[in-house]
This record gives sequence, C-alpha cells and structure tokens, in this order.
Amino acid sequence: MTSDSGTIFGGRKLVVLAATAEILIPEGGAIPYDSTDIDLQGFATQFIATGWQNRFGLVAALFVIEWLMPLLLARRPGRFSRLPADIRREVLQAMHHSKVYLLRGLLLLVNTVVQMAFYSDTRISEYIGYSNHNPGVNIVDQPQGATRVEQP
Amino acid sequence: MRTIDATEFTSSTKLDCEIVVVGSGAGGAPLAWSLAKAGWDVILIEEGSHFRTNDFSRRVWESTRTMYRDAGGTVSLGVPAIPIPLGRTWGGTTTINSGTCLRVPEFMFDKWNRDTSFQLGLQDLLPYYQMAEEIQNVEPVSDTLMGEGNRLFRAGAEKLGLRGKPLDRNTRDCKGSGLCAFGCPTGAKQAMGQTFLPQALEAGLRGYTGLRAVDVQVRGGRATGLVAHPLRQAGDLRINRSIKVKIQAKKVVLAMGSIYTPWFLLRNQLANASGEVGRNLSIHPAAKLLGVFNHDLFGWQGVPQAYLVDEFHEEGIVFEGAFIPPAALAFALPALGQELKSMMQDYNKIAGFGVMVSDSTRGKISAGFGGRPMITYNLNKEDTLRFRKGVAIGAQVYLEAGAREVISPIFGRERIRSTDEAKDILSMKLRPADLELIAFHPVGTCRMGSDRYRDVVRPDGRTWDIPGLYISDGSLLPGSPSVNPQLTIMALALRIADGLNAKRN
Repeated sequence: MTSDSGTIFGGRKLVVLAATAEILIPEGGAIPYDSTDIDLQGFATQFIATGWQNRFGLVAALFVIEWLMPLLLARRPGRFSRLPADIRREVLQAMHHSKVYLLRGLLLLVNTVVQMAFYSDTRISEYIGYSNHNPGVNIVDQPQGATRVEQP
Repeated sequence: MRTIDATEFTSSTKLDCEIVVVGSGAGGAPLAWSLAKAGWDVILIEEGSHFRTNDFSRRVWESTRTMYRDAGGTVSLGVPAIPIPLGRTWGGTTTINSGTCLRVPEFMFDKWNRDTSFQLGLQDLLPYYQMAEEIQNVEPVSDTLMGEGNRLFRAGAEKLGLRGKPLDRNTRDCKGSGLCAFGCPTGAKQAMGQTFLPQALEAGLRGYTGLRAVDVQVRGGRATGLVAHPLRQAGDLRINRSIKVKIQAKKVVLAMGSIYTPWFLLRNQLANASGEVGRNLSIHPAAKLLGVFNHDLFGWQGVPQAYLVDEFHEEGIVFEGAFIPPAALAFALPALGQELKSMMQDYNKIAGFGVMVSDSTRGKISAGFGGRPMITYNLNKEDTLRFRKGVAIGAQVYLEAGAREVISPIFGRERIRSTDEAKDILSMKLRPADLELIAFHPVGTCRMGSDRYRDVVRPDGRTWDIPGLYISDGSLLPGSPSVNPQLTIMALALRIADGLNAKRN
C-alpha cells in the first residue's frame, strides 16, 4: 500500500516496528489475534503520509528503540529487533515505566500506531464486543470513506 | 447549493466578492451565514474536504486521517506534551467534536472584564447565544440517550453530593450512535455542516473546499483580499503552487482557529503591532478517568459526552463524559502486551469520564518551521494541583458508583482501587510530567479587547492594525472559558456579523 506521497513504510523501519509490535501485541492470551494478523505496513504507510512531523516522530522513536534502548535499559548491546523476545519485552516495559518523560513519550507514539492499527481491524474490535454500527441505530452503510464534491 | 472543490481547478483564477472568510468552523460559518443572509456577496474557503453525512465512514482511523489535522497528532511541545485535536474539514472542528454547547458562566465574564480589556458580558452576547442555540436546536441530553458511563458517574456524584446536570448539545433526533467525534453518521449533530453552512449556501454563499489561504493582500495599509492555492488533491497536505486563486474583497475574515489564525498572521507578518499575536494560549487541558466495572456496560453506546459535574466550576475544575472506540482507547491504557490484551477484553466493562481544568497556564504559538506552527505550553504548578484534586475526586466518584478500579492519568498511580488510594492522591507530590493530558479548546491567541497595545482585535472584530482585516474564531477569547467554547465562538461571530450588517445598512 502506498501513501498519498508514494512512500511505503518499509525496510529497516518496518522490521523494527514489527519487532516492537510483536511484544506490544503478542500471540495468544485474552484475544486470539496478534500483530501478525494485521496490515502493519499498510497502516504505518498511511500514518507517515499524515504529515512530516508524524513521520519524523515515528522514525525517530523506532531509531531510539532499535539502537539505544537495549544498551540503556537492558544492558544488552545490539539491535532491538535482533534480541530475543524476553529481552525486547524487558526493554519496552522499562520504557513504559521509565521516569524519563521522553522515553515514555517515544514508546507511547509507537504504541499508538500499533494499537490503532490492531483495534481498527473489525475482526478484533468485534471480538471484544464493539460495533461501530450501534444496534438499533439505522446508519446507511457506505462502502467507502470520503467522496469528492462535484463541481457545480 | 453545493460547495466547489478547488482541487479540481486546472488553472489560476480570480474571484471577486465583498467579504472573504477563511475557515468554516464555529467562527467562520455563523458569520458567513449572517452576512450572506443580509445580502453580502460572501466567499468562504476551507482547506479541508466536504464530507456529508453519508460519507462518514464510522471508522476511527479513516475518520481521523481524513478529518483531523495531522491525523489528530497536533501536539503542544512542553511538559507535558499535550495533543490538541483539530478539525480539518467542512464545518471545522464542529464536525468532529462532542457537540456540547454551553454559555460561558457569568463569573468567567466578570473575571475577563476584571483582568483583561475584554469588555463584553453575558448580556451583550445573550441574543447571539439564543440565536445559535435555536438554529442548532441545543437541548439537554435525555436520560434514554445518556451513555452508561455517564449514568454511572452521575450516580457516584449524587452519592457524594456533587452538583451536576445533563449537558446541552446541538442535536436533532439523536440516536446515540456514540460516534460524534468521527462525524455523526445519522446527521443528528447540528454542527456547522448541518445548519449554518447549508443555509448560507442557499442564501448565496460561495463555498470552496480544498483551498488554502497563504497570504492577505494589503494595499495602502488596508486588506483587499487574499491569495490561496488549491491542494494537490482533496485531503492532501501539499498545495499546488502552479495554480493561484486570488480573491478580491473589501473585507477579509480569518476564522482558522486559535492555532492557525495566529500562525498565519505571524508567517505573513500581519496585524502584530501589539506583539500579542500567538501569545496568551489557553487550551483547557483534560485528563481521562476510566472506571472499570464488573459488569458489561457498553460505554460506547449512547451519547459519550452527556453529563457535567460542575461542583468545583469556580475553582476551575469540571467533569464531563467521554468515551471512544477501542482503536482510540487501547494505547491510553496503562499496560502492554498480554496485560493490555486482558484489559481490552474487558472493553465493555469500561466507563469513561474526563476532568478539565480551566488553565492559568499560558502557552504560545510561534511561526515554527516546515510549514507548521510551533505550539509551546508548559503546565504550571497551579494547574497541576487542580488536576491532582480533580483526579482524586473523579476517582472517588467512579468507585462510589461501583467501579472495581479507576484508571487515572497519573504516572505511577495509574490504577486506583479504593477510596483511600483516591484520597491519597491529594497528598502526593505531582509533577506536570506525571500527567497524561489532552486538550480540545485552544483559545486566546488573538485576544479581543479595547487596548490596542495588549489586544490584537477590537471589540467589533477588526484587527487593530489593518483596516478591513477581521478575526472570528476562538483566538478572540481572553482566556479559558471554563466550558466548551464553541457556542461562545459562534455568538461572537454572530455579533461581529451584526456589526458588519449594521454598517452595510
């Protein structure tokens, strides 16, 4: 899936995002879906098309996670995406509970993208009992989103 | 009558009118409506796209991506960093807000009159409040439509003896679909796109979407029109510089909102002899309070923002209902991995409310870089303590209503499981960085008042510095109104239009 500007979210960035998402939304547990069940690349591609500041923020956060956090928080040199899952979990939990505001903020940004991608999938939102078609409310179902306005 | 999609222009063009309005939200739409009905030749331009009721997708990401500026990622930099969701669509932020319509309370008008040169009082705006309320059918939320999260908070508040009431909202035949913040899918929310704008188009308003103003033309010190470019395509962030739209007008009204109107003025070095453009930013920050119950309550059904607890209003603390679909809630929960999955499995057991603080903190809009404003805001100690009190009280309310725990916005105290723990918050040392906040009501950045050295805009809406240049949006307010500001922005817009209409007559 391409963004409006033609840039696909891929390469190294996608590897790091996927490695992070694997921990943020792991296999098993209360919901029988995980990060591999969603189109993370497609969602991230759309996300980075929403403005250079969103793109910069996500890429910067992933860079910090990949290159700095393993050494800083788990005393393990090496790339985050190449670490075993338990070490990656330790790193992200440390960011989540860090007293350093910036570290919490960087993880929050990545987590926002991942969780929004996950729960935007109707299989998953319906699994937890949500429907954007409120029972009893007559909403005309439209197959597509925005439409352009005709010229007069 | 339809709007015209400027992204389909194939060549540069010149347009002529008497008044051009930039922005179709709560400041631009009522003003354009009043002027068009009075017979002015009015053009209104809007950067966003025109989504009709049937266009709303009801999907969080699709709606956020297409109707919110920055996909909802407009953020003030500071401690803490605070998201300030803004609309970028026909109808402005009114298309994606909760629909709450409240008048500024009298004590706040008194404060403004005392502390600033804002001269208007409740009585001055009363006829305009009434007009806006009538056109939008402002009515209190009925009990049957109230979301369960609101009912539970009400129950807890009543047990604690806290004053509250159903919220007034701009709705007609509301069905309680709970999607107010993503475009009302039934057309019940009487936002600008359902009321002022269609009526204005019928009265002869020419409305253009996908068109971004880039500069005001000033000749002999007077505003004579503006220059705009269409976006490359509907919804795009980039403009098509090869196509220029010049709009000649006798008067120019900027109604782009409290972030973008001052940014526009700063970028183009306009109307800032006072040095006050962009200053005095108040955002009315808010924080979540999520009650987790032992039974399914389906908090997403019914009106999400239906009840108000205003016991502490004069202290600057109010509580209003709030709830959001899973895609917008999950990342706000204090858990990761399997623990988060377990919490989200109980999504239907979660109820939501919000605490808002009428801030004494003041931030700033700067010209920024990369085609974006820079918003800076650092929460001060006074407001931090207000949040401490608000969270402690709000948690007690939901616990009193039967919640087994309350999710709070305080780092290190995210899960409150007893009244003692809630009360304990009042004595904790709380730093601004410990708070997770969001804000929906930026105001104050082009203050209206009678002092040309402290205010950007005169009491009649004209800028002090440039004849023919007006402002009509939330930036006019001297400070936080302590309630949702859209009704007051509309009232001010109608008053400004009245002044223009009187001159015409």
